[in-house]
Amino acid sequence: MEMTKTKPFITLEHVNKEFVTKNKTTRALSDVSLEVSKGEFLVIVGASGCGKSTIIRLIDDIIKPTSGTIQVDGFEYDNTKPISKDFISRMGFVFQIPNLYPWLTVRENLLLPLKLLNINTKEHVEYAEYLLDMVHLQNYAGAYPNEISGGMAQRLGVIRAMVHKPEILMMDEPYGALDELTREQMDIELLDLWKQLGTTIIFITHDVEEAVLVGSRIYVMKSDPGRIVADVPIEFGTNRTINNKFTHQFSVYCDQITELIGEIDLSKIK
Amino acid sequence: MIIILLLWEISTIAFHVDSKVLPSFTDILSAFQNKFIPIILPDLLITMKNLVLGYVIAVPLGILIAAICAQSQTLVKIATPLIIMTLVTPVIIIVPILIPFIGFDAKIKVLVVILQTAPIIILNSLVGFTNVKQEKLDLMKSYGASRFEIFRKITFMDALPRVFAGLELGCILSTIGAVSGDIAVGDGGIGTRIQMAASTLATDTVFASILSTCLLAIILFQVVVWIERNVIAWK
Ligand SMILES: Nc1ncnc2c1ncn2[C@@H]1O[C@H](COP(=O)(O)OP(=O)(O)OP(=O)(O)O)[C@@H](O)[C@H]1O
Ligand SMILES: [Mg+2]
Repeated sequence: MEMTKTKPFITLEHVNKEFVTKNKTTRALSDVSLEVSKGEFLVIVGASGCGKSTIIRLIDDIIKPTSGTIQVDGFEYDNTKPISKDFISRMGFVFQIPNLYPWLTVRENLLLPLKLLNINTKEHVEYAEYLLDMVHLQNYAGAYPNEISGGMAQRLGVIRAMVHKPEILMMDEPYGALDELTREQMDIELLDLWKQLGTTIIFITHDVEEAVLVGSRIYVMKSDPGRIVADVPIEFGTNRTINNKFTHQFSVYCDQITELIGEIDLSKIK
Repeated sequence: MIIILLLWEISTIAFHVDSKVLPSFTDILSAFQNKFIPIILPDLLITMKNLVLGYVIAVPLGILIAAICAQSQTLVKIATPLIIMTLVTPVIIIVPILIPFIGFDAKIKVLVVILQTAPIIILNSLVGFTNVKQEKLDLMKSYGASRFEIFRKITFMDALPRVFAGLELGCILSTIGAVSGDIAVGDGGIGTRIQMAASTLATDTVFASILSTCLLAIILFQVVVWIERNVIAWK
């Protein structure tokens, strides 16, 4: 996709985040600045503990930064109070774990966001059924989470974040626990949805091939302290297919990203 | 179980144990049969009334106190040792202190049951309320849910199995509380009956009464387990 230089949709400026625990202070994010355009499919990659989850948890207002500013669609977050319910309903968040509530059925888990956000239009309920269908969970709608497989649970976690039709979808290693084949299938379905709906997506993974397959741009992060070290646009255009994987350009991208991530390990060994 | 009962039966006969010291099991069963309706049951009903009343008060009270304590980490730190203290302290010791205020009333027995039962319910509920996985709470936050909404819909539901563990232990402790209340206060009840029978060396009545009390506790326990199975349908 051509990067149109319009005003960015999501902006982080000089964001720092420290976690203070009994034994130590972790600099999860150090002077992180980033921009995401509307409709972009942004991927964040990096080794474990480099602060990937922290970035999207900040954008979703689950946690507050130690310092720095966060802006979404021209609105700057107040670091002392939560953003409004109307605003937060524009975002969806897929957790690193399926994060289902065991006392709710599959359908109840899926509809929970609508309930919490007081959305009850027929259109949304129908969309929920469409999503259930899409990830082949329609026959399990009445089951409890401990009665479905790990992969089903993860798919439910993904569609739950979409059920209220958010403009921004943040996904924290959504398919991490799936086998490679299923994951690729899910990735392609996600790309279809993205093209169809124009959602802005921030997608976290530690799998380089997955990153290059889905991303229109990739931020590479490093840890200790957590920071962004590279910004790599992936010039495959919007018409992404699984066949991209077999092109020369694909492996060039993969090597480049792997090298950028790999430096961390070298510096740790030294 | 059957082997133990058999050994008991055989040894009491074989060693000619005085039935005032340890009656044979069949002695106890016949005492149970002969004395249950006329002697034990009326006292058991008195105790049961105090027990059930105390338990029914202790359950919401205990959960409510735990819910309040769970709102602040400092409160949890202060409350936990206090709860353990009240659990360890024999409630009977407190009775003489309370009598001047309340008098030899059935109320005091109910109070003993509450004091004996509530702490274990508080302790278990508190552990449940304070050990909810962070992500489960984060999800609610990410939809802008209020603190009360998060507690009611997530923390409470997530802690339910643990709360029920407290309620089940509470059945046992409230029975102990009810019987010790009888003993400390007197004035009827199965505890008083046991005490009287013991002082007149009616050992078979003592054992038959204890047996009936145990049965009562087991029934209560099973009722709560049954409720749990129906409430926690997702397991
Ligand atoms: N609530 C917290 N308390 C203390 N430290 C935390 C907390 N959350 C994150 N951290 C620390 O901040 C750093 C970044 O964490 P983060 O979860 O963002 O990493 P990540 O890149 O998502 O890693 P992974 O790929 O393993 O999920 C880590 O060192 C982590 O230990
Ligand atoms: Mg993470």
